[in-house]
Amino acid sequence: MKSFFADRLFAVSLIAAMAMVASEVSLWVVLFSTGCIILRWFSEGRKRVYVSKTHTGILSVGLLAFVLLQFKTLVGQDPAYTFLLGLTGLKILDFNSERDKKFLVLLGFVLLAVKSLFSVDIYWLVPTLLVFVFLWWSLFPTAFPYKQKTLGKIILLSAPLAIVLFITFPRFVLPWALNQGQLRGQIGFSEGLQPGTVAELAAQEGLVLRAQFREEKKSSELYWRGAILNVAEGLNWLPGRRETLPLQRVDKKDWDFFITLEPHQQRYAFVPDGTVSIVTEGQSFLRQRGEIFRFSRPVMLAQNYYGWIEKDFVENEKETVETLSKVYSQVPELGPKTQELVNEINALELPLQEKLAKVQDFFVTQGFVYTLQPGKYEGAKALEEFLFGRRRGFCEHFAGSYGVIVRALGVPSRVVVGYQGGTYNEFGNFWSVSQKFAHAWVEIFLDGRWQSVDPTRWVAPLRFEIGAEDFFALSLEDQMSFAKDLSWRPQRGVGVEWLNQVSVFLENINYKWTSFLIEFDLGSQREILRELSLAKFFNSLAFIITIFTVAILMAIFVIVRRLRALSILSLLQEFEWHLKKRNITRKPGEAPVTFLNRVKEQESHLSDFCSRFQVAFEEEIYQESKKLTLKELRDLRKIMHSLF
Amino acid sequence: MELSKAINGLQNYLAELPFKGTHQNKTFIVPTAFGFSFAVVIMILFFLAVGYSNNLIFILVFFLISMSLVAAYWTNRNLGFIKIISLNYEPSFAGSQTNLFCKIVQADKKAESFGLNFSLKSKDHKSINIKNLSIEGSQYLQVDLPWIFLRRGWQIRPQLEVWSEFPFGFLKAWRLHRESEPILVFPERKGSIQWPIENSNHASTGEVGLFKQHRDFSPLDSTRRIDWMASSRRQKILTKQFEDPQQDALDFSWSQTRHLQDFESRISQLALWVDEAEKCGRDYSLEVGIKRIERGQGAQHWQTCLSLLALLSEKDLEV
Repeated sequence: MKSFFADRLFAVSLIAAMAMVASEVSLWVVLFSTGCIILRWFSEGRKRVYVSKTHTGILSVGLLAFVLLQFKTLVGQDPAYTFLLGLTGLKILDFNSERDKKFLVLLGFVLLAVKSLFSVDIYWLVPTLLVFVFLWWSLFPTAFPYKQKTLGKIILLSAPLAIVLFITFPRFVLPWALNQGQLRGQIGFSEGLQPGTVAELAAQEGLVLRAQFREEKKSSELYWRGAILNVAEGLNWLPGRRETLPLQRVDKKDWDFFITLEPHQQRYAFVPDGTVSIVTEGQSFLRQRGEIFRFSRPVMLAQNYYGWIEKDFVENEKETVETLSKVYSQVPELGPKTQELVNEINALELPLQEKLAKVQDFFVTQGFVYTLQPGKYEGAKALEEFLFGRRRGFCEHFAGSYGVIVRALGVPSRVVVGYQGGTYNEFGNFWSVSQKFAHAWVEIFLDGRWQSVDPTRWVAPLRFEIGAEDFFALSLEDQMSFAKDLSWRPQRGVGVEWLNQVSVFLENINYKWTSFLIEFDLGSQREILRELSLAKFFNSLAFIITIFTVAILMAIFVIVRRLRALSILSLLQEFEWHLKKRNITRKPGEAPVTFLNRVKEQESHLSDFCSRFQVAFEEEIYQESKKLTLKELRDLRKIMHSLF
Repeated sequence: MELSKAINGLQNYLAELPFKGTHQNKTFIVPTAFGFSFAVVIMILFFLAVGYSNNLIFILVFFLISMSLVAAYWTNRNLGFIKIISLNYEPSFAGSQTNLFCKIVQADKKAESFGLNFSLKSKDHKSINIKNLSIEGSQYLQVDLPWIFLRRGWQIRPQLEVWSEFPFGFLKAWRLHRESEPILVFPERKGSIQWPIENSNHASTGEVGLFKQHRDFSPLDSTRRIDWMASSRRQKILTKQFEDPQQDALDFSWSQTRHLQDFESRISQLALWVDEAEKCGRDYSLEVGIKRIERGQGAQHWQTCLSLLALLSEKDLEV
């Protein structure tokens, strides 16, 4: 039995490749593959074969059946990757020859590629590179002594070609490409707002997007719009009818923001408030009423897009009175206490702005608590329960309830769902927005335009001041105690601050790497070519100089190699070639020394040269200690040339 | 026009100068089964990269491609400077294993060759591969390759193949070497180990005279002549040879093999006797048909007798 674990680097690198993919597939196949590896380890330790090729054959059929059972198909990414991982485990189990090793190396390369489909983060790059190198390493013959040096040389020599291929190979995008199968990386964002939806989102980890702005921004002023909810059902809000508008044309050349959106399997394109238009390569957008943008296809891979912002942007397509009354002013059936509150404010007969101020007072003074765990609000009395009962809620509770109250007061309103804030990366000058920043706020139609109102700010202004991530990192007591204290800041140790800086730095590198990988497309390639042709004159001159230099270097290289290749054997061949013209040829199998003797007899004027050549030949070939120098060989050739 | 003339001229020049071209020492190179599998994997990954517009997979694919190309160069280079200096055979008997002594040199002083494999091939036979040898720059390597000639007489020399799949096993590079000069193969040594009846009285079995030397045991030797002490010391069976000037000569003739019906068997029997007589240090003669080789001994005599048998045809026996 050939040992799988004998070549440790090979075994470790293959298992590492499997582990990288294991984090993306079903748990049962991970356990299955792990079981195979453990059984193999046990089997090698005991030097007994527990599982034969027949057994693994049966197991692979079983594996196939399980995959079919789970996915109902074999076509698609998930079944393919699940089967691939299981198959690798089985191959390790019946590993028995050098051929199996080579097959596993190939599977290792495929596993690395599969991992790249799931994540292009730079954090995976180091293990991927190590596995890549060690898989190549394991292909060397076991006894080969210069693996390190040779592999290093091969990688260095292959790098230029790989880079040239990477830059020049045209990145055509196949129309069906991005819709294949199912990819991970959901952000969990969905249409509709039910009590607890945003809180659930905010409780999750995971990056949503990274963004760069041309102008400086503050975290508290960043509102990322995802969806508009028009239909109010108490605390529960739904999207209602979506009206598609024509795309705006922007004359400005430079973009105002650049976003790298993580794949989320849906069509949302999150944009900051005031976005007029966005563009991207390989995808098109739909623009919907309420400054909402949608991709034409679900976002299965990380996606870059640019956009333009206008301060106090008002959509050209004005809201009609009919829409305002039919869509944005519908009030659900209110509970008695809510109705009483509304009646109380209405009874004051104040101007609209002051009525709204009264509503704000209500949220500020009635002891509302901002928390990720508000408990469940269900049924028709959810709104009553929240406003006059528990008064513990997350942003969607404040937004939903505020939207209903203002509608009851006669102000058209809608709820916007998306993200608020972000973590600024000072090294890379970009914002990272994670699920923690999930947020809902309200827009009211006042003075002929939609205006943002965020009731959560009245309850927990600290969350906006220090950001959602830092706020939710506080203890529940601290969250409750300091929610309204704008000057309060959490205390951090020096070590934590330092670690934070390191993580921000790494995040910057990761951002640069991932956006490079995502951004590099046909457009980038065209730009490179365009840039090359711009400096035509300079480049042509530089080109000629480069070609000339390369030609000289190559000529030197060839001459040096030719000189190095000069050997006693090549001299013998040359000598034979000259003699052939005089009808003297070396017979097949005739020893060179015998041949030279024959030449001596036939051509007396070559006798001296032949004797000298014989001595040189015998020294070079038969006396291992004596080697002819390049000079000696050249001298010999010079003499030969003088004779013919 | 001028350019094509120049190219043609250069080609002719190189064609005439074998020492300046490389075609005399051609290295052939083809993908192995693993190489084809590797290509299939690259294709799959390439479609994956294109299908999902995944630049990371593109990087992986392009690195795999360029590394395999560099590896192809390495495979070629591994054999590129290998030169076969000499190919010598020890005297060969049909049906018995003989050795080909192949001496090669790594002509490039800075290059090294690894994973070299050697094998001999003919139309109907292939030798065992000698595997995984390496040779440093300007160093020599001698490889003994076992070979069995199946027939006697002038035989075409087998083709020497030096091949390697170094470094990754994607490609097999090989060089072939065949010398056109045929080799004379002696008949198979087969038959009875007893001397022919006419000579049996003279067979040397006694330990007369002074001890001369040891030699390797042969089946015709009496077990009484085995020097057990020397054999145990040298780890091989040795027999004592004694100075015995009085030993009679052996006369071998075609008629002594009349008990054998088959023509080839009769030749084989004579070849066995000749070879054993030489080993025993006896004078011997050989008479086949009209051809007769007078008594004598020594390498030249032995070769003459065996050459006669090697080239013997039925016509030679017709008087």
